[in-house]
Amino acid sequence: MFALACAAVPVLGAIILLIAPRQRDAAAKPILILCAAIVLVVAVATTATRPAGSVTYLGGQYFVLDATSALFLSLIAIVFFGISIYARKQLSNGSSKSRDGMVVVRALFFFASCVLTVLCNHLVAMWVLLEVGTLTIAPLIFFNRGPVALRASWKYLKFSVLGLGFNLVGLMCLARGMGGAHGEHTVTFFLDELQTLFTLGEQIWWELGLALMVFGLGTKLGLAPMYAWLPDAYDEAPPVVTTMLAAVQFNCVLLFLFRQVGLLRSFDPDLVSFELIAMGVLSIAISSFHIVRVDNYKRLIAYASINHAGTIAVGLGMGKNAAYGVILYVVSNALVKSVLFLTCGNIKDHYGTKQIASLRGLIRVMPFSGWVFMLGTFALLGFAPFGSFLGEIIILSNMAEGGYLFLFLFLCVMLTINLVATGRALFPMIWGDTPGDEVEVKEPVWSIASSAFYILVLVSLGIYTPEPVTSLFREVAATLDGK
Amino acid sequence: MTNQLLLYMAAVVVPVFFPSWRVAVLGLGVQGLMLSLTLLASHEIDSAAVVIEFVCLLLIRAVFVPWYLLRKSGPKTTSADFSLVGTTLGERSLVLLLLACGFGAGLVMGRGDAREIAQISTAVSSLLIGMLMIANQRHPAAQLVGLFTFEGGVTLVEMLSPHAMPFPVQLGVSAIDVFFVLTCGQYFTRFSEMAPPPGTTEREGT
Repeated sequence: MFALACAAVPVLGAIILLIAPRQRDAAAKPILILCAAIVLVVAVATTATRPAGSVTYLGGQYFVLDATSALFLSLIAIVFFGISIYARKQLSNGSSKSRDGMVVVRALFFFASCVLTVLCNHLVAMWVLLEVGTLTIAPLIFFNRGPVALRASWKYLKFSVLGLGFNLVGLMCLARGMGGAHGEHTVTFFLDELQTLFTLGEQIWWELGLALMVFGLGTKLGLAPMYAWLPDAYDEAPPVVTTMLAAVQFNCVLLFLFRQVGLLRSFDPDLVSFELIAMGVLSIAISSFHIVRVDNYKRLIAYASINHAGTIAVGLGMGKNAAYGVILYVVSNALVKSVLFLTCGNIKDHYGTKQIASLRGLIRVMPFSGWVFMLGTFALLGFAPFGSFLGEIIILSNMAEGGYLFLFLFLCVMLTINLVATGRALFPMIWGDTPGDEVEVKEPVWSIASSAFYILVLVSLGIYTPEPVTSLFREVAATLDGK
Repeated sequence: MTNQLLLYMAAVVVPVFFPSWRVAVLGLGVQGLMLSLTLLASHEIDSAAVVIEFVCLLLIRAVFVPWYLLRKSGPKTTSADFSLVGTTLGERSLVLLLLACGFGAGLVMGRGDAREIAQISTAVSSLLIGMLMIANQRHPAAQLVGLFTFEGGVTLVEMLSPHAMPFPVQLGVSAIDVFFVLTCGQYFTRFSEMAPPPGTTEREGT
């Protein structure tokens, strides 16, 4: 029952802020940090004390605490706590401190919806909660900002509604097929009950359903062909909001996809493999093309997010032994995105620009942010000893072992292109010669504290992962094959 | 039920050929009304979830959405050259082509059952035409009508599926509609503040 407190605490925090309008702006940041800290403690304690292999139903049958929900609950709690610490420095891009209260209220409601999504045991309820999260965070993209941010936010909203709409249509088609197969049997969307139906039913309905489900969630994850919203939204949103989109909401959508893929693979282990691999390959190719020509560092990381989502989709499509690599890569990806997007906020604050060409010698002017950005870039590119390196290696080695040689070759070529293009763009920005008048900036500790902590976790994931964490990853990986 | 579906389709297509913001919003109201009547015709009112869905379609989609959108929109939101899919013959023919595609999908998937063919055809047409409106127009008001047309198609597919929705989940689905309209209202206000002068053409793919 403690897991549900992770949703109740942020809701309570938001309600306190709503009923005290006079103190709202002053109390916003302390309440945000307090709520995030409580959620972090409860989430990690819940995950640590959960017996291996156990499945506990909460709130009737509507919520479930299993390995997958425990892992994602802890992951988003860690990221959200980091965001709350960073938010002490800046929230809505520093343009107006007088509106911080409403930003925090929305952020808390958004996070509560994410926690419930992660814990949910009903597919349509998860869909509802993802919609709530989308509608809560969308206005924060343009909060206190100009028409370009407004258009980016509107684009995000449109694509999200379309993507989730397609997913719901897919779910209904699947239910239509299943129901027809059981003599117009009524289908419930409770995950545990769906797993007891041992047939997918009429082929035309479930094939259409599967295609639409994957396509819809692919849109929400920013996978090609419906990826156009992602670079605009990530680029225009304040760093705190970008991190919430890239590292919190992204993982909730991914969990929704994991649940659906796990369910479908309990019927047939090869289902949706082709769709996932096709969308992943297309995303990697398109994002690599953009990475080569982009001139804005935040946008570059946004395109790298599409690239990483593509790698996750390919790994998920491969199934079987790659699943452990996918889980490791997903966890690393969330931390890498948090590090880079939060540090981008520091850089933009100091230089006032996102143009790569305008920045040189970051590591000398902003030593802390420069180092963190450099290490984050290494992790982004999949260098050792970070967890992303290990995840990528596991996915690639399983690709080669599984006989997907063309795919293996394609990924290696794309990785090389990304390495060269990202290095060519970002390395001079980090190490280049500074103009003579640039002096070293003193940075507040909390602006880089969370990013520095994430770097340590990333290194730990690559070098040594404690046994309980490894077995949790293994347990989640097993569910991806429908076991 | 076929009559309701025909009227629903008319409410989708007529605003395409008579482009005006008020006609489009009226079309959304009629769509909501027809969706609620289709639900009545195809389902027995035997659970709280169905009652909630019916009330939501009738009160929110047929009444609240048009009223709220008209209230929120100003002269800047809906310029004189407002259009849902463009005004050229090619763009309008595309709508008819999508209608034909929807009917084709209904024939393939309807298993010879006339009622099912009609419902699938209407649902697929609504999804496709909604997407066309979103993709073809840059004007937020036109895109919003497209989103609601798309959502109408989703609702029709939902009615086809033999599923049992628990009451709290159905309540959540209905609440999403209200939340979505209110959020769009915020966007309308901001777009009105930032819109170019009336008369400026804004048509491009997204």
